[in-house]
Amino acid sequence: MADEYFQAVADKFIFKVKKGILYTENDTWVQAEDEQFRFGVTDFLQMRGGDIIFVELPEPDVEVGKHDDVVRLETIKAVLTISSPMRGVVTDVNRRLNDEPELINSDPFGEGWLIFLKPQGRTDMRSLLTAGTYFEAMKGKIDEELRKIKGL
Amino acid sequence: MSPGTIVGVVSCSGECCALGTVSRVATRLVLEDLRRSNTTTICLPLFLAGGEGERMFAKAYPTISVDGCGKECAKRAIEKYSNRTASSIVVEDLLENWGLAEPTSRRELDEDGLEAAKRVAEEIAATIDSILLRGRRVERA
Amino acid sequence: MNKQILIIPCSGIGKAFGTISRDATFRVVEDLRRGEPDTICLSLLVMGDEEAKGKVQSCKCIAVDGCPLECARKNIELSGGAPAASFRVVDLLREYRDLRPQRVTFLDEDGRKLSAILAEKIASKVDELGKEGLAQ
Repeated sequence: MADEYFQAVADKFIFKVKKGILYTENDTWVQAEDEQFRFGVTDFLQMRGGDIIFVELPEPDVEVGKHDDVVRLETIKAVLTISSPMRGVVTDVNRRLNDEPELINSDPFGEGWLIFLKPQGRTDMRSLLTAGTYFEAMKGKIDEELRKIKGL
Repeated sequence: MSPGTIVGVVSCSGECCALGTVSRVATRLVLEDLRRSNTTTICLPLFLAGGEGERMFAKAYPTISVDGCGKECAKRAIEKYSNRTASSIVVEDLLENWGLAEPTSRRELDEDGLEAAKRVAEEIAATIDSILLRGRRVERA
Repeated sequence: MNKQILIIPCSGIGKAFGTISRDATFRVVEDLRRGEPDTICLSLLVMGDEEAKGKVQSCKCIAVDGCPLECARKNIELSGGAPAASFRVVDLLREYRDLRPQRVTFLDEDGRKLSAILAEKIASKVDELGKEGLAQ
């Protein structure tokens, strides 16, 4: 487990960042698989958002632009809109999430994946973060969240 | 957060009697209001089911168990799976010392029950302060 | 008096779901089906109390969990029990999308509504399990 993830502990919460994949500043991840990218949300996002009750996924073959809203997650606290990390076509969606949205909470990097994207045109990977860089950014966000919760 | 700045409070689940409800409400009052910045609660059912974060926290940070009755399930659970508690509170004993009757309703505390919960919450808060002060003295030594 | 059924809530302290699980259980045990099912402390069971274990092994258990972590169901199973039925508050939220309980310590209006709905479902299950017992 230690080899596969970076891990940050704050209070009683353990936040994991999977190594070997790329991240966005919006707390989502992308993993290259053949000519496509598997896409999901991070451990930090699912923990901050809370128990996910509904997931609205796009239909396959839909074209999305970079930063377009592509997935909607509804938790008890809020509605989270997740934006696409790249311009592309949705080639597959995780239909299990219709009946088991909790997979995003329990396994955000594995069974809780959201969609597959096939990039269109040149894919600008420069805005994507390495796991190490995201991990450092995430630690800052965790501190900020804790300060808010604790009223510090 | 370093071990000197936060204390975990573990309440029993206490379905069998109203003392468990007092324990639970008192713990929440501490978390939400009295000592918001340096308290966290450990969810006992999650802890018992093997919750990794809960067990790690209870090993590394000081904890206070708040039990409704003398069976002290919360205290025994923490000590079995993580570490000795820094302090333990039994609501039944406190109410007896204060001359207060045990509330009658498990589901919803009446006015007297709520007052009891507030007094227990103050007791928990004072215990937290004492633990943190001891911790700061140890750090300075 | 049919004391053959035990309703065991998770009573999770961190989320509104846990408070709802607990509240709904008490609604059933103290009101809707008073004198029929009983409840026990989950932590007492897991800490090995012999009386609690005996009850779980001799009764039909209904686990009432707040969230998908299912601590009540898991802890019952860890103690050698096998829930005859289980409920999760979070599943009710999918059915009643307009209800969004927020408060944890004391239930807000949405929390009370959900608790009442859940209590009715649990009570129906108690009736169902009770009939199964008679049929045997």
